Amino acid sequence: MAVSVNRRYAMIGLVFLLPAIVVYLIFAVVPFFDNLILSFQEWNGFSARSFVGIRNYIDAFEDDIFRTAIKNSVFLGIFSSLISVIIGVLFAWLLLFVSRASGGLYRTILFSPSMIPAVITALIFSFVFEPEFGILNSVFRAVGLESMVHAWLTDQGTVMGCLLFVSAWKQVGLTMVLCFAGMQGIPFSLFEAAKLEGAGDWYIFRRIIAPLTSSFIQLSAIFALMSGLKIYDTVLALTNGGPGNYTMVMPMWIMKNTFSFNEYGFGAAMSVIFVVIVLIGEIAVKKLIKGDAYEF
Amino acid sequence: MSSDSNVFSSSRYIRIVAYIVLSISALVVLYPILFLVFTSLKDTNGFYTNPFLPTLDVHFENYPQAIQTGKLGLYFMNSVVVAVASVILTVIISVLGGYALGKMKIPGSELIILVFMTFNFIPGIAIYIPLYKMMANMRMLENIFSIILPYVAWQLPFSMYIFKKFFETIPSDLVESGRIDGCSEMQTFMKIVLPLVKPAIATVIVFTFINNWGELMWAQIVTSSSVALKTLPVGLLNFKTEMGVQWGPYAAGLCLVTIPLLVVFAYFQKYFIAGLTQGAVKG
Repeated sequence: MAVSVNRRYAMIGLVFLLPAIVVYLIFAVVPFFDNLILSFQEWNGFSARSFVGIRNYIDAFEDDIFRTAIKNSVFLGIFSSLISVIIGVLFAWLLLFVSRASGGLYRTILFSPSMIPAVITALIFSFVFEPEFGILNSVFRAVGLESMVHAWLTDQGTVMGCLLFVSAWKQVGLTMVLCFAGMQGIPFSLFEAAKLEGAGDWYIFRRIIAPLTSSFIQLSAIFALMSGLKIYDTVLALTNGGPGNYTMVMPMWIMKNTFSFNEYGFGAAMSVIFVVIVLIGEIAVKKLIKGDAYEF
Repeated sequence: MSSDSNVFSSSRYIRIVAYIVLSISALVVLYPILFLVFTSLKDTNGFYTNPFLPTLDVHFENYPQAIQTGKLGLYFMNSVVVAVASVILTVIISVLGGYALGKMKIPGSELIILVFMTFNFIPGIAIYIPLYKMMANMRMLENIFSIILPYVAWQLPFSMYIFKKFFETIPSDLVESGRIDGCSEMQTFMKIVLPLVKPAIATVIVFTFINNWGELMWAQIVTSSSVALKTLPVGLLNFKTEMGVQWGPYAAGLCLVTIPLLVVFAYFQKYFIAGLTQGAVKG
């Protein structure tokens, strides 16, 4: 009797679940596998698709611009996540020392860039880096540091640094807020006990706070790495991959080849390589930062 | 946890450092946004003579000019339609799915959500290429649902995950009591379960809204041949070239998009954070 009742609930449950499965199959799962097949084919988008084996993959690895794009995406992924995790965790820790009211204010301000669409963030920063009247150069001129004035986004020596800064500017607040939430979950008595034993603030951070918030640090590191590896909007709006193809990133080069040059198979192959790199990144973070969750 | 009387307040030296570091950082975050607001209220002359600070010589005409020249009104409406429709559909579909996975004893429900979440990490571009061609073949590219439906799909894994987690915290007795009282499964869901799930709904709304409102790549691909469907992120990208060196109207356009978002989400941020934290607290 109980079994059949459970089975009836399970059947109704499947009906409840069906819309989600159908929609996700059509708009994510099926296209993904079709993309896998397409990566072994040649297609200009109109004629018939024909199999070419692994030629698209060979072409991809022999393509200098795609190699540059991989290097740039991985660079931005690793360094923007490193910066935003280090600064974000530091900020979260510092928030423990300020009063409640000012802490709330700091959190709201520092978190706000995470809520602005990336295109808009980038367009705002085009004001900052603009060579003639941009904020950065104007500040340097105003304080007499003419030697620091740069064409920030067209100079190869500065452009990656600028992209890194914008990407971290956007990501730090999220890391901070997540890790602060984790720190708030630590029972107070632990800190008091440590203080009574004579532990310093830095010691408490290293030995109590950091280990007990590791699952939050891991999660924010994954978020930051993903947003760096998948960065597209920011680069498009600030440099469009320039100067030349110096700041080309993976999604942008795939977009260009597919939708501008009509190389659908080649684009598909590069996007499969992109997926593999993203998955490796995710696994690497999970290996590097142990995400043990604690129940208090 | 209160911070006013906590164990850390005795550390005076580090308190001062904390205030200094956080204040400077807040300024670095805030100033570009303030600069945008100042610039949006200046005419060209006012900008060149005094770029950094606000002036008393206020020019509101930049705003209507930005809306007319940049077609921002049209793009704004498109974005609103896309965001509202996709958020509503996502909530309906994922609340049902999350309930099924969290409370209805479906065999393999853990595996099902794991598959969804794994797919969620796949970069969009690995899906967009065949999807675009599929939409073109189905003659859907002139239709706003070509943006809405994929947005719904791509927000489902995380939203269902949030709902599943939430439903698991609701005692089964409550659901059972509805069933025993003779409610149908749908009545139980509507009368007993749904009222309890409001905080999770708020989280999902905020989350999906932020993601869809700012989505650029798919919107760019789908609207590449039709101006009528362009959303704000796509429109703003062209806005810069259309505005040339007119800094005032350009800044006004960016303000129109940014400021309402910041005001609304400063209010909703607790739901946003609650949703994100769900991912870190396992079990």
